Amino acid sequence: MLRHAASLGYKGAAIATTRDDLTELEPLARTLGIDLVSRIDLTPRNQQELLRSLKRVRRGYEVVSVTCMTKGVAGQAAKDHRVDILNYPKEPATRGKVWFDRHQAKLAKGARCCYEINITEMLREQRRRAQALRHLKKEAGNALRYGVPVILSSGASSILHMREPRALAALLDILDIGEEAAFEMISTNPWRLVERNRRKLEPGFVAPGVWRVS
Amino acid sequence: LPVRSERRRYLAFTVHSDQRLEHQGVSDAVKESVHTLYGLKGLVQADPVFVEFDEDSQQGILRCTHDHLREVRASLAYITHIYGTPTVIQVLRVSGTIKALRAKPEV
Repeated sequence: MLRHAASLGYKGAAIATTRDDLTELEPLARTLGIDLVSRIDLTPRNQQELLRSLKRVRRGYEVVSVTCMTKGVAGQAAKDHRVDILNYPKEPATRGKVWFDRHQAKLAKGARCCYEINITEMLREQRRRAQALRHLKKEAGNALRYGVPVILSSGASSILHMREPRALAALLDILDIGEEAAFEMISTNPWRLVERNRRKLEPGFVAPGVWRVS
Repeated sequence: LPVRSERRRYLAFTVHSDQRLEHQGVSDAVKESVHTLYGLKGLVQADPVFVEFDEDSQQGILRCTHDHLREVRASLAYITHIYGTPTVIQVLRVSGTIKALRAKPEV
């Protein structure tokens, strides 16, 4: 998949896997010219589990994504500055209850969380596509309205789910998102997030704006 | 000088699939995808036409109107299956003329 990503023109890839697997992949990624980003996807059942997980994993990964399965988790994740990316359930029935509404958007803006559009959701089986697209359009609209950065990801688990970056950006035309905004979502926003987090993970970092220099 | 009334874009693409696909199958899938996403009006405006498709290399050239390139790209990306086989159509490069498209290196 890394080789295919390189052939499609990607310069970076966030892979949700263990640190050991990433270390194994690093030489190949370096050869291909791909910057590997460590990512963890959390799916906590409640707020307490989310807080425990964040405390455990935050310093170990460059990107922390939370899939919000309940409203409680969604509220907590959207206001927690340790969470980088907010995700929502894929099943339409659950998505109808827990989704990126305007309250979530306001909280996420304050905590500098990003909202993620997963392209696999747009490419799911035919009968569910319209429903998924409707949810995504509403959520992306909320994110843009409240100034929450949107990250566009392939969410691919196989080569057949991967698309070239321009194709991903073009797919957002279905959600009425312009070309410039789409390029930002696939390029600028993810890099900004990774760079910010890499600076935070450096040894001298104390708090946002505070660095130990000696 | 004669001026072309409609500007065009040519897309070189490759098909990734477990099955060897024929010209007609890919062409129908592309048109169906444009129709699904943008309707009959979108299909007429985008006017996707298969210029060529090499069944051995599974690569081809598709033509569309220049101001509907994004719609055609989206429609190509939207294709997940052809004849029930998981399939991806990857755009290799885009150009305003076939000559330049053939001369361009793959990006």
